[in-house]
Amino acid sequence: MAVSQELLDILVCPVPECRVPVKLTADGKGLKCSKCHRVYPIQDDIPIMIVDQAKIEAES
Amino acid sequence: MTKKHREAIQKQFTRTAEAFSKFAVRDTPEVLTEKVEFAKPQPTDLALDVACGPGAYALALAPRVKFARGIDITEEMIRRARAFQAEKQIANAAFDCGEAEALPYSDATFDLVTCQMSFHHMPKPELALGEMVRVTKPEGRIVLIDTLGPESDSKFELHNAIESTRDPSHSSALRLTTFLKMFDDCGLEILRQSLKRRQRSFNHWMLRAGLELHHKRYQETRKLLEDSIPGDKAGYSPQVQDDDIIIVHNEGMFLLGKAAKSEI
Repeated sequence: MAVSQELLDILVCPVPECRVPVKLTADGKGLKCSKCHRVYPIQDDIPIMIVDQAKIEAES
Repeated sequence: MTKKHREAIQKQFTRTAEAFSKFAVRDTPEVLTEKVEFAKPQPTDLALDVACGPGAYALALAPRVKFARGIDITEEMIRRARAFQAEKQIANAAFDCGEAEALPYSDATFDLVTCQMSFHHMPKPELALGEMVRVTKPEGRIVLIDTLGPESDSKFELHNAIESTRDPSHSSALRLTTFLKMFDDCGLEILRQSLKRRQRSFNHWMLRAGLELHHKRYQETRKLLEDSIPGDKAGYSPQVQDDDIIIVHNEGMFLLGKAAKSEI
């Protein structure tokens, strides 16, 4: 079960100052916020949308 | 939610996921049906159950709505929920991992947003309610169900001490008056409310927390409860029955709508 388009359509970065849509990373292993650059990991097809479990990555 | 409290919840519910799922018959099928009916689900609804645990409520709502999502902070609970979903062969449901106080969904996404038996785990439940309001459509409904703490100060403190001894991730069983103020602060109006007295077996309640007779926390919780029996000092209306104690949790069920803003 991959991350569905229906979910991607409603999913946003949970940081209150962001709340912008997140995008699947190139390797498909995370969801990245374009504003704060946090990458939320996807584990066993479960996106872990918890702020302090995300890693901030440099702008690509 | 602080990292420490989140980790306490994740630890408690990961450790007890199996017991919690197995004994999550806190809600008998009749009570679960009652809670589904209370939400007045509609076939067009996109529903969200916040802090969904192993998914019982979301999966019970699913046949009555267009699509039901559940979100929980504990990954293991999401795995359980997905396994239950597969077992029940329910196609129109999905489960995500996230925090109630910072929901990862766009504003005004859902027609029906529910949260049951979880506010008492949250140190800042008003944040979760604010988030539930944010992701609910303007004409949408919110269902909040939780145990109610006693109004009297001394009973309230002992009641919550017993709950915290049983489950370290317990934060506070809120009073009815606290809920009503919180609804008002969040601009919600009560469309329907129901107050229930849920009778349950102490031993079964402990099993749901993964605790059996030989566990230290079982013994500590039982002692506190037994000591509270004269004068019902913790508000459980406890009744000894053989080797068990029958206790009562007061439960509030609220169907809420966004109050129409008055014109200036």
